[in-house]
Amino acid sequence: MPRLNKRASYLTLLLPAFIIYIGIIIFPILVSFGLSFTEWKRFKMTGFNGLDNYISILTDPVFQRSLWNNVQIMLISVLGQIPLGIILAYLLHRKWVRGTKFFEFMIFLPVTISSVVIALLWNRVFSPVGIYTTFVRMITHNPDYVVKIFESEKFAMIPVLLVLLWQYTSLYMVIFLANLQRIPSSVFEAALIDGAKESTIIWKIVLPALSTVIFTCSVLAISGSLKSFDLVYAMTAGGPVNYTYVMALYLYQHTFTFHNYGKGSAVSIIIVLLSVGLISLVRGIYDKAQKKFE
Amino acid sequence: MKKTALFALVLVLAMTFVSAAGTKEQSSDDGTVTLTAYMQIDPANDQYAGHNAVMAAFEEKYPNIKLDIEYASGEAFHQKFQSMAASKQIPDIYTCYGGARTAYVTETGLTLDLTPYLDDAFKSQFASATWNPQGSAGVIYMIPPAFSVCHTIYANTAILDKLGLEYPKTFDEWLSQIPTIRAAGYYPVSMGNKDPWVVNSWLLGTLIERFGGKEWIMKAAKGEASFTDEPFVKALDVIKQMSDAGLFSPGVNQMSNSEADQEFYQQKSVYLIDAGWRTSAMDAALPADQREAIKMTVFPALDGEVTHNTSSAVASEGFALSKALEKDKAKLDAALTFIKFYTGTEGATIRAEHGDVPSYNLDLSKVNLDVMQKKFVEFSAEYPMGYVFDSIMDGEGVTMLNTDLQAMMMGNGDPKQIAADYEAWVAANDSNRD
Amino acid sequence: MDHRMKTISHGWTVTAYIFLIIFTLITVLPVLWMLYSSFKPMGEIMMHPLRLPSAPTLANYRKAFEYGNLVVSFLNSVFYSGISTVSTVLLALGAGFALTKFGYKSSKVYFGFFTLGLLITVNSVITPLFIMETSTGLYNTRLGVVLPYIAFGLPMAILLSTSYIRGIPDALIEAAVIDGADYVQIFWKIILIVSTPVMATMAILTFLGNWNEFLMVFTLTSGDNMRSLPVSINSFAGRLNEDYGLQFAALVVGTVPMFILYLVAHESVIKGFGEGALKE
Repeated sequence: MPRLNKRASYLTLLLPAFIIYIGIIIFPILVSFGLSFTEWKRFKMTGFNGLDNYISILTDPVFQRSLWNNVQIMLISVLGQIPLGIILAYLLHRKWVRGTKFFEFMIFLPVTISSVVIALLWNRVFSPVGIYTTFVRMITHNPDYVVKIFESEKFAMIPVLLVLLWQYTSLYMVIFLANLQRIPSSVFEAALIDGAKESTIIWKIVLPALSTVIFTCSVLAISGSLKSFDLVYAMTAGGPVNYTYVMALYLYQHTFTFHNYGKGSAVSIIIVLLSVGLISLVRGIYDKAQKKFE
Repeated sequence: MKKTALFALVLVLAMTFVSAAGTKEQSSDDGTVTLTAYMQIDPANDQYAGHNAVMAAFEEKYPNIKLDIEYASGEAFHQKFQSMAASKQIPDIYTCYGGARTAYVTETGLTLDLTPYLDDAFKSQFASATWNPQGSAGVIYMIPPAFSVCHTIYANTAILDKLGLEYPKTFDEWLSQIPTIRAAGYYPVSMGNKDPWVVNSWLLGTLIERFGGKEWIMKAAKGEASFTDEPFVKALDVIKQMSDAGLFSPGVNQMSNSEADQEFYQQKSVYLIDAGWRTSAMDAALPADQREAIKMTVFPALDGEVTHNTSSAVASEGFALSKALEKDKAKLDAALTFIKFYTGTEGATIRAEHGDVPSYNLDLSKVNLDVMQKKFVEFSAEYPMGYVFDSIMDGEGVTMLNTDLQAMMMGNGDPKQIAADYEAWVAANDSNRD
Repeated sequence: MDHRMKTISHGWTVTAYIFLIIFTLITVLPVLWMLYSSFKPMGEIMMHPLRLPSAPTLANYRKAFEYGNLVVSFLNSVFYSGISTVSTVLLALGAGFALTKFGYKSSKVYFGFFTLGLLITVNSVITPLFIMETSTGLYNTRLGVVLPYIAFGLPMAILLSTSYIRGIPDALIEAAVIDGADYVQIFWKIILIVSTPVMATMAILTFLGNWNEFLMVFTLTSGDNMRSLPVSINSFAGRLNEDYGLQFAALVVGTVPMFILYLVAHESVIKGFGEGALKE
């Protein structure tokens, strides 16, 4: 095998991925970007309309509610799934309990279950004909009982958030578990011999060692939450009214139900811009935190 | 390097698969015509047993016409269809509606106008509503094999008898039954309005028609009448009264269709507001005596109604052809043969035996039908059919209206305001007012 | 391997057990429900949704295999997911290595570009993609499914591979360079070997994403012989009359392979890692 010089090796390793990626994702999204400034009527593009699509989206109360719901999903991902993922990975890695393999599998399972099944079962339990509801009606002798939170304008997202927390924590646990392997077990042993507490080990050894990965996971969590669609669609489809609407649903509806590619494309671009902003913010926080640890 | 070798092997396998993949249209040297088709049909569902039988019969009678069919359902069907329409690559035969829902293909010059290919002798064999003009051009884009009945009230007469009640003659009488029904531990009406199109399709359309008559909706759509007028506002108000009086079972806006069905099937409620196409599922799920006790009827009389005892129905999805077929005589003939077979005598007879009520005129009294299917046939014959609201108006406005309606049913909203908002949207955006 | 420490307080262990057991129950119940419901006819699921099947039947499976063409769909799923997962992981590791250990300034730009891909939903590119594929002849080919799968898998995979490879000591690579290896050889002989745990993670997550993917394969192919499992399952979703029994049977067929893959790949996450390789 002839020796490749450094530059050639660099390109050999990088370019195949880059070309596929540009062709399939970047090219269409540039088309989208262009379309986001166009007006559509009766399934046809009728001309450019500048920023009109963006203005009408940003001033639409349905979009504003969707945005807020996405922010809630993001918060539960970054502040719920990631910390929980770390704790679970740590406790399994350090074998606090017996049967770690079994529990690991159990925690992983939810991401493999179809959102359709989750939504159906959820309804079998909590809908007005569900077992939970039927049971409460029986013991309270109140035949009008329903789970009120589903109809609450303010809190209708909470059930969705709880299910998301359960479903996707394992994603992060799997990532952290792989990365914990990088810390040699002698480090833990040494620390324990020195009399360090578990909490000290987590703060002083595990978190610093995982900091890059935590950042990576935050990026995944933010981008994933701003795009989330499947579970919300299966559980509530945005309802009741539009209390659980999310941006991806809004995008879908304007593109494919109302046939307005201009507006649909503008939503895609807004989602991208928002994510870039949020990820930069996290990047800033991460850089600061790194300095502190050093 | 074992790993590398393994990867190489996998990649080679991959390339073989890739090069062997993909079905391209075959040429027709032996006189066989192959047509591509895209249908919103679910062959595995009991509801489409008739469809499967027709397809088998067609294959047998016309071995030289091959159909390459892709089936899909729901939102996914429309999403892909729109991509096809956007790239002007649509299949030879496809299912679509005559109204607004699939206008992205019928109104963009991709669908063949069937008018020149259908003679009066053929057309006269169908219910006259089959040939109502379609789309904004008022031509015939598709032949509907059946009608969808969108408003039906199913009443459990066994419970009614037990409570000493009868199916109400008027809306007020219906409301006055609530205390008796509740006192006996039942819920009055089940309806699954989790997806808010339900209240629109299954209730609102019929109510507007009762108050305004059949012609009013087209006037309102075109701007000769306003949605702030009485028929529309009164219809909204009836729905509000139903909610406020507790006619619906609790959680009506949290229940999916099948959950509402479940409540009614389990005999926890006396009435069910649903569509006509539920009968095949009832035949499959319920014991015979329970089915015998179900009465299929329509909304009771309302104060100030101008039409009486109406339900609402719309031509079902039908078969349309690609405009591109005009250029290929052999394919066009084959495609026309297929849709005429499916909707005409042969197809209709086969489908009727499986419980369909075809748009083709058949004497169904001779067909041996299951209990609920039989009731459905009688229902279709007994009640006059009005229009279906969301097949006329643009989807975006209807979605907004449905959301507002659901909010109203949950206690936030007032009929006059909703009517005003909707009229404003229609005036500014709806394609009917162009 | 057992570095279970006696120092962990009793309280922590009990809390951990309680939490894990509750989590397990919440997880197992839906799976069990799906499993036994798949042996019930639709009517019984409606009338007694939670009860065990009174007369278990294979009818749903028979019907699902007959109408859903499940065998072909299953093989297609294995093919699409398998090929694109292997390709994604390899390409992402190569790119991850290039972006972290070469010290070129352009790396940052490339990396930023790849990260952008995380933010893009399939819904926003599906129509342009369909038009591109129909005009290039990729439509309704297996390559036309695999390429988008790779492209959409790359951003996350690259993110994971860069953050992992960055942690591999430079000394390891420098030593190999001194020994006369070129960078591509280093990639095959060193990077691939020490990256086993993250490879397994990437493979699991990528495979999972591809296995459940519906929209692209549905839109970019037509016809029974190209379908994957999610497309078959969706065809049972019934627009007007849902048949849950049928859906569940198909979902069981679709979910079980994921369990198996995880159990297999899981060994690599935990054990396949040569700890010695990283000791400095």
